[in-house]
Amino acid sequence: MAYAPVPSAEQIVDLYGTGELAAELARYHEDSEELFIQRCVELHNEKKINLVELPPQPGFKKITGHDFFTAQHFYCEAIPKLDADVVALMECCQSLIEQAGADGAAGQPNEAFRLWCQNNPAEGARVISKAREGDNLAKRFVTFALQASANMETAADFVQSYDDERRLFGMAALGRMPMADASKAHQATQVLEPFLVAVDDDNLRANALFAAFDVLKKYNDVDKASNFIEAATDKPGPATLHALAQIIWLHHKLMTSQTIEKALTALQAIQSDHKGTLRALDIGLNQLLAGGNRAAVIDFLTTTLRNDKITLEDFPTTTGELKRSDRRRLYEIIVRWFLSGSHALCDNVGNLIEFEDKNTFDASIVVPSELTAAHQAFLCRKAIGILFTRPVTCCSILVSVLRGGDKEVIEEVVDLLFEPMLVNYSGKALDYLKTIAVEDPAYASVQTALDRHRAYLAGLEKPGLIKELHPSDYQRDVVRQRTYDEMRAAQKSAEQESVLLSVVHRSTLLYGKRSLTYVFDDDGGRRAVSLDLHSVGVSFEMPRQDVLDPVGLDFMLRVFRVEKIQ
Amino acid sequence: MKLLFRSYLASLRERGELDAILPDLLSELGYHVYSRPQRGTAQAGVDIAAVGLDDDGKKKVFLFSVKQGDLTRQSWNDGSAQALRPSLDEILDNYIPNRIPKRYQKLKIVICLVFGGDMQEQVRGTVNGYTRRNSNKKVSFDEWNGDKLAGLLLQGVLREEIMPKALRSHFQKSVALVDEPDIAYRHFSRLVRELTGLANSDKAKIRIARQLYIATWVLFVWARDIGNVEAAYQASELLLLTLWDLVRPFIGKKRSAAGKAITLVLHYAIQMHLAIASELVERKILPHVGIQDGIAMAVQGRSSADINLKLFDTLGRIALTGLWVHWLVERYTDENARAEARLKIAQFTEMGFKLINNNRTLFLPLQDQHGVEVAMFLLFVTAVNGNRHDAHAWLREMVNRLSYSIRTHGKYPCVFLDYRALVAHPRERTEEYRKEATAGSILIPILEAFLSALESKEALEKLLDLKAKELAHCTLQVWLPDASSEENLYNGKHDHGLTLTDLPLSSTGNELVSLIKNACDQTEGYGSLSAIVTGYWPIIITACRHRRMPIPPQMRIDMVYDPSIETENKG
Repeated sequence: MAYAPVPSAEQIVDLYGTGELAAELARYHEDSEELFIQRCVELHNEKKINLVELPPQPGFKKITGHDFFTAQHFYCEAIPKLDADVVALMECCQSLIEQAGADGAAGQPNEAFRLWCQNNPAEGARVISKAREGDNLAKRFVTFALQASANMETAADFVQSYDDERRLFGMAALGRMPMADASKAHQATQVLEPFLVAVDDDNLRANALFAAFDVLKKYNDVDKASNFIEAATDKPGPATLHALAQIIWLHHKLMTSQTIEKALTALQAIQSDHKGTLRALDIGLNQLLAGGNRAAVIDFLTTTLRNDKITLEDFPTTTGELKRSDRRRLYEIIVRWFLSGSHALCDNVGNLIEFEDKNTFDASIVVPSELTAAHQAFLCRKAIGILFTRPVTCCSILVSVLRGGDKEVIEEVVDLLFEPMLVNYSGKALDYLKTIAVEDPAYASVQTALDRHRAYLAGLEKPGLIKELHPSDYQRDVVRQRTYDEMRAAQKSAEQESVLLSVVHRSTLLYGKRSLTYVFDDDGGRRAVSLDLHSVGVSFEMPRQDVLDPVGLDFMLRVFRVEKIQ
Repeated sequence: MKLLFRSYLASLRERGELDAILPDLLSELGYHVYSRPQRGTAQAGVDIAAVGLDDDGKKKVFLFSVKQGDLTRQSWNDGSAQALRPSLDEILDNYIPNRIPKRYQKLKIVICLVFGGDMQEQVRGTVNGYTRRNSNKKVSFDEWNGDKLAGLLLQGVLREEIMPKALRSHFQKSVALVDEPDIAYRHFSRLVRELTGLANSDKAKIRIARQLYIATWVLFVWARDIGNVEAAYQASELLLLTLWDLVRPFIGKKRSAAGKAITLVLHYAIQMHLAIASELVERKILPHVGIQDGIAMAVQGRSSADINLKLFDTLGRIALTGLWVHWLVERYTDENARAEARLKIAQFTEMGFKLINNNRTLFLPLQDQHGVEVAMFLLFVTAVNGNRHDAHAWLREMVNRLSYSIRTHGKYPCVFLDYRALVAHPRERTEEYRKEATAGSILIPILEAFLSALESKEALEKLLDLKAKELAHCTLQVWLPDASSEENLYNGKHDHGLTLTDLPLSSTGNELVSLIKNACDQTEGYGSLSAIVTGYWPIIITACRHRRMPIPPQMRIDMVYDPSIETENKG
């Protein structure tokens, strides 16, 4: 990234005069960004330039992407220090927020405005006053003015006096305000509590709930937290559910296990198109897993994922945690979901297994002894139906059943281990099965399957070369060309979706195995940068039957997938 | 070219293989062959006997004793009856005194020592001593080694006046490229097409029949040497059809010498075709059909389409070979040969089902046109009273897979013929594409007809349901030969026949069978096909396989049709 030198005060004024200051604000500056900000603030306060008027102007609107957020950062640092008319400043902040769009950092100027109000209490009071008069711009910023005033009574008055959006702004301000002591916090929650049961105004209820927990964060009261959740979980609307998800994420430490379960039970009503709520809940669930609420999380997922519109892809953080951490816990989830009889749950198991398919369930993992032989066999068929393309993991589930040693099921599982597993995969799955140690209870059965596989491979060798059966050169060319086209399309698609490739400069080397590039240093000198090339690739094994008998393989897997336990 | 034939002659494995071409070679050189090699009959040392002009211009009797490969000390006289010297002794002691036809008894005799390779030096002295000792005014000896035979081939059937340079080039290319069967067959079929274009007289027809027969033999031996008889297999099918096309005009003309001569070549060509089929089917395929996925893996294809196409093709070849053997059984006079052939037929059906059960892609073709192979195998099983239980299980599973793959937009049978389209199938999983890919079907009526015969109610109902719900657009059809088929079926020159469309399906299949039966009764083409009239019905199946035409339902209707159905429907 290129750094620009910090312009002198005169240069800044010149840039302002020529309409080029906006572009300069979007650049990183050498040595100290603070120096640049300080110079600009001083020039603004000396009225040599006007920073507040820039954001709404077309020159500023042209700034996009990363450059815009550089400029926004400049303003967030500068605003609290500016001498400015409050209306112009609100317009400036509004413009910055709108231009940031849906980005998570879009609201940063609000905090800068709050600090400005804190530094200019009279102007903050003007905002409150204008908001009371119904000024739309002021209403939009009144939360931060109220928060800066630290006047709980005024905020409470907004909550109790108005029935429009000012009530919500009052609630938000109340939640964010510093509380001098527990009694103040109690007073604040008393103001909010009546709104928690406002079943007919979902938005109001959600704001009240969130503000209440913001207050509890400062002076916690477990009973109150429990009461608030109890109140909010009665017929919650989408907004209340969103607030509950946020609370699970941000305030789960304020709640008991029972209260968390209560909230999660309510959250089972979550809709698949409420992506924001799902995102917040995902982070919350991940934190609960780490905090000892594992069972509640798994119960929640088990119930919620039966609704096939919501999948583990909606909970990427939680899924990542479940995949990576505790293999025994993962195995228990897989067994539970496979035996549930729910297609949606079974399909979700696929999201729990890494694509690389490297991690097996080790020798300590044995099928639960309470499962009947029929259930164990069913588990194996489901594992094949759902995890067929992850043969190593799939085989390790079958082996866990063999470890259980139930004589009624061993023969069937050995059959399944041989076909379809080994008949289709003679690579990593075979390598894994060969690692099963002599002392492992599954050893003998695995050896039987391996012996059959050896005989199968020996059989495949027997016909030798039958040239008459071979595809012609033309046919081979057609298939080769088709494979090439498919791979090229897949590569193009992957490149388009790649985050990395979208931000880095790309060079294409036609020859050689190292690259050498000269870059210019700050002092104007040239420096050679050398880069060794390495190959990067992903490989996966195609099941043999996909070529030998695709219809049969597809049919068998479909049967295994849809099979219900008797 | 001579080197090509030398190498070919040296590569002949069986004595019978050299026997097979020599009579035609002699005939073409102007000899009159009065005794041909016959299996199982005593020949008193003589494999072929002919009368012709010797180099001195005199008419003589030529007695040929044939051995394959080089003449070595062992093949000269190793004490076995198969060695050359005992044969020569028998000619001198038995054939000459007792078996020369009366009309030739006054002629001088030349005993020809025939072998495809060379005479090895260590045996030459012994042979010369033997021939000198036994030569006299009446009897002399001559050596016909590979070099001489190759020269005779070039002077005779393949000489330039009767096989122009351009045609020789196609022949040479087909042999040279025999390991690339598609290309080799393309050249061979051009040779056939252009050579038959010269058939403007009876004499020319006989000559062309012999030329093609020998050319196919050469191709086969070369193909066998490099271990790839694919081109030879296809060439021999084409040869059978071409010979039939040549012999057709002579049917009914009992005194036609040309008809007899071409028929003789045809019979040898049938034997050759079975030898080629045996090289592929019996030697390479059948020993491995009991191995799970064994034959499918041997295809070495990267696409499932390769495996499916090749395996259905192979199943069709097993069926066709079995049907030819079935046809030959009744023509064998030797009871041992009959028993052996019957055993082979039983083995073929059993092995066919093993191939299916161990290579499960055979439970559903990718191409609707492979209904031809399905029908051929079922016809074979039905004709030889094969295992109905296995046939039923095969068809039931085929219906299951058909239903499943169509409903899930999987690899269901499609109407496409182009390889690119087949490899990409299904190119899209849309209703529109599926309609295009299943626009018509010959496979479904075949399934319906055979399932009806097997009274497989459940499978028939599944087909009915599939047709009603997913394949309402699909034109179910059966092809019937018509009056123009006789002229075009064997040579594949023009479209011919008629298609019976919009066939009804039902839970018994009776309606379809009855409708086809009625249509067959009202269509005269089939009954007037020369191959049917003369009882050479495997020619029709060979033509259908080779020209990719559906098997006429008349061929199977007698086997699956219950006349009582007709009565019931009328009632």
